[in-house]
Order: sequence, then structure tokens, then C-alpha cells
Amino acid sequence: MNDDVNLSRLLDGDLTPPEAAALRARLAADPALAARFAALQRTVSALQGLERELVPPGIPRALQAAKPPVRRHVPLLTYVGLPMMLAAGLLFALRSPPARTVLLSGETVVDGQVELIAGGLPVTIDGRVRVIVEPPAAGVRESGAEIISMDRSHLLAALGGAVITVTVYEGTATWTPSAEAPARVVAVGESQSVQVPGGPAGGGAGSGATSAPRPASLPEALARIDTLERQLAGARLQAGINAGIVQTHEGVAQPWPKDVPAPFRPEAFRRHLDAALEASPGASVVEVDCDEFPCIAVLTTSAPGADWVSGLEAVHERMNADGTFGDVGVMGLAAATDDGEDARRYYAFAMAPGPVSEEGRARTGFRGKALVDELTHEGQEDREALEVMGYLSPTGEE
Amino acid sequence: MPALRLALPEPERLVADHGGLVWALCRRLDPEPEDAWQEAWEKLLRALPRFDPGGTASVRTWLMTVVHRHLVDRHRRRTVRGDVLEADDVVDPGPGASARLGTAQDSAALERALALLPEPWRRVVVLHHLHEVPLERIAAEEGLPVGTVKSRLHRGRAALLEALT
Repeated sequence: MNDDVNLSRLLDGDLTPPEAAALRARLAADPALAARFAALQRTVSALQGLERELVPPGIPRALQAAKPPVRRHVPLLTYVGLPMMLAAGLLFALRSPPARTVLLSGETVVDGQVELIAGGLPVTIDGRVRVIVEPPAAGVRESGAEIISMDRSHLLAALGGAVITVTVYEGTATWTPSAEAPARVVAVGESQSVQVPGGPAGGGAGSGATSAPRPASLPEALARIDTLERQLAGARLQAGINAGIVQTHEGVAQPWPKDVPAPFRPEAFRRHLDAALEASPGASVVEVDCDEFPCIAVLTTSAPGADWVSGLEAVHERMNADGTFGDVGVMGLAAATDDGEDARRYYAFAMAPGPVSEEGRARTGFRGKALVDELTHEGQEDREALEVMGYLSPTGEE
Repeated sequence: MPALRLALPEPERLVADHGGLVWALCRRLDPEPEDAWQEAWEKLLRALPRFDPGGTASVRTWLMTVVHRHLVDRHRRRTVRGDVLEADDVVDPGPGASARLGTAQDSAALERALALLPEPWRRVVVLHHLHEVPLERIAAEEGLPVGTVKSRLHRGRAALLEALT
């Protein structure tokens, strides 16, 4: 399994150059290993060929609850066994009273049988139609909800000065641009625009400057917009608080500084680690993570006994026995699973030029814990974790 | 004339255009996919008014982010409860799969092996290889270091290789 993990790392360029060179040399000399690498490449390719979308089980309950009641003359067909395109067509082909929606500003493409109040004017649609409402400057409240679905007919006052454009792709759209004008039918391929008479400061073309009286439903809609805006502000505040809590827990990602001393850089760190491990019987490296600064090494040991942590601590002490790393801060985290004789023991440590900032300590601690948790398969309930040990100077004093 | 504002997608259109994607994620990444599916759409429809159609994220990207977070939350709740849920029957390869993968049996074997991966490894493998989500974004959504996510990807691949050879 370890070979397979390293082959996967080689595939993504996640090995250090010496590690990659060593593995490539083995691949060249070992046909069985080379075949395994080829099989891994085929597996990755096969994954990318799996279906990305699957036929869903039906219309979600949440969507059914949100729709107005529908009178059906034919049984509702489910998605099972049908291509998605056909299912979408059936959804909009149900015989039912047309839905009614209100568009205050912006644009929408409507499919099916819909009565749309666009800028205050009713538009009856049977087909596929784009409607654009460009409101007058002072006509519409700023809001995140430009389309309102209503389950009863609302006749809003025409927004004087608004420009409404109806474009038909399929079917027809029928509308009455003003109270005095007859109904117009917009056919396939046609686009009609009209500016609603009236509007702020007497602006707008048409038959007069008077605007229609506003019905009671408009204040209701505006009150709902007020409520939504307050809820949105509250949600944003809570999200900001949560982000602060998360940042306190996880720390801030630490990029590699440009001027980091040479021994701490990934290749040198790994070289010194390997040399120290040669003098540490029973200890071996499980993983080295250098995606952020500093590198974190995770070790394990085959030596039993209560003193296994000291044996692994000795590895980073050996790394700096000759002062190569200078005045260094070390953070360590030890963990073992509670599996009796089969217990797995891990020790994660990081070394950084001292002194280390609180931010750096928090982030490194989070990374180390995540690595160890990953290795113990997130079995927090059966993990016996030891304390983060803090920092040690080269003399071993804290 | 005031600038046009883009309209939010209609909920029905959202389901029609992206229901297959949401179901594929729930089916492969959750041991109770029907529940995950229903809850995911409740979250999506509640979050829809806050989606900015003129922003940098496409509808698909926004939708995948919401569903990904939802599936991670479900996994964490199960972990806290100590539930042990076995992988259910495998995903059907689908009508187009055999042309791409050579035989339906190959893709069925791969789906079976995928279903048996530990859930955190499977999530990274599916999101990254099937849905092309960058590892950095997976790490950000799951609150993990990139190194941990990479580790899960490599272990997941290695486990698949072991199961298939």
C-alpha cells in the first residue's frame, strides 16, 4: 500500500525530486512495479470517465412545497427511467392553471404557461419567452429578490417610465401595453418593447403623465423585502462571527517565507530527517507535509513500551544535534490508537526558526492535529491523544 | 436608463438543469442518499435568494459548494453520533459509461470499489476526479490543510488500485 501511495504522489508531482528520482529508478528496474504504475494511471483515467450525473429520484419535496397548488389532468410522471431533457419538458407540460409571477426589474426567461406581471403590465405566456424590465430610476427598491412568486393574482400599478421588452423564442406572448390599447400578440422570433406612460417627475412617453393608483399588495411586497433584507444582514453578521471562530481554531495558512534558512526548506529538512532516522532504530517516517511553512513530519515506531514518545522526540533532537537548525522552536503532538497490542503510535513534529508567532503556532498545531487524525482514521472516540508539547530550545529547556 | 440586473434561476430550472449532478453527489458520497438529496434541495432553495447571478461564481459552482458543505456536515454529524453505516448497493454505470470504459463490468467494479472507500477519501476522489474540483477548494470547504486533502486523494487512489488489481 505504501508503494501505491507513493506511485500516486509521483503521478501528481508530490514527491521531492530525490524521492521522485529514486522511485523512477525503481520503476525502470522493476517491471511489476511499472505495471502497477500503469494500472494506477488507468484507474485515474477510468474515474474521470464515470458518469457525472445520474437520473434523480424525483422532484424534491422542498420544491413541491414551494409551488402553488396545481390541478392536474394527467398523472405526474417521475424522472425514473427518463432522460433529463424529456423530464424537464414534462414538468412544464402539466395541464394546470398558469403560475403567476411578478418581475419588478431585471430579466427572466419563462417556459410554459405563465401569467407574468412585468413592470406592472400583465403578460400571458405560452411558450418560451424572454422578458426584460428596465425600471425607472426611482421605481424599484434595491433588493436581492427581483422575482416574486405569488399564489394569487396581483395587479400592480404600472411602474411609470419602465421599459418592458418581450422576446418570443417559442409559442406566443400576449400583453396589453396600456389600459387604452388592445391586447397584442408577440409571435415567434418577434421582440416588442414599450415604455410605460407616466413615471417620476412626469417623465416617460405615452398618453399622459398620470400613474395608476397603487394597490394594497405593493406595500405587502415591499414589507417582505424589508424583512428579507434584515434577515440577510443578520445572517451575514453570524457568518462573520463564525468565520472568526473558525480562524481562531484553524489559524491562518502560512505561506513559505522567501528568506527561510536553508535547513528548514523541504528538501534539506527531509535530508536531515532521513539521516536522523538512520540512527533511530524502530522509527520511520509516515508522512512529511510541506505544503505550508513549516514542514511537519509524522513518525511512527515499531518499538513498544510507555517510552515510545521519547524515542521519537530523539529524532528531531538528532537533526539539530550539531546546531544546523540554529535557535529553533519545536512543536510536537503524539497520539496513539487504543488498540492494545495493535496500537498505532504517531508523533508529529515541526521545527521553525524561533521565536514563532502565535498565529504560526495555532496554524501548525491545527495542521499537525489534522495529519494525525487522518492517520488514526478520525477515530477520535478511540484515540488517546497526548498534549501538544510546546517549544523546546536546542538545550531542551522550554 | 438603469443597468439591467440578472434574474435568479427559477427553482424548477435549477432542478431540471442540475438535479442529475446533485443526485450523483448524494448517491456516491452519502450512505443515505435520499435523505441527503431532500435536505440538499431544502438548503439550496433557502440559499437561492442570496446567490448573486452577476457574481464570479456560476450557478453550477455555487450549487456544488452548497451541496459539498451539506454532505460534509452530514458526515460530521454521523461521526459524532458514532454511526456505522455500510455502503449500500453500487451506483449503476449509466448508459454512456460502457463506451468510455470499455465494458459495463469495468465501470461497475470501479463504482463498487469507490463505494467501499472510507467516506473522507471517497469524497476527495469523487469531487476531484469526477467533478474537477481543485484540491485547494476542497480543502477550503472542508476546513482542512491542502496536505491532508492530498493525502486522502493518494490513499483513496491506492485503495482503489488495491481493490481492482
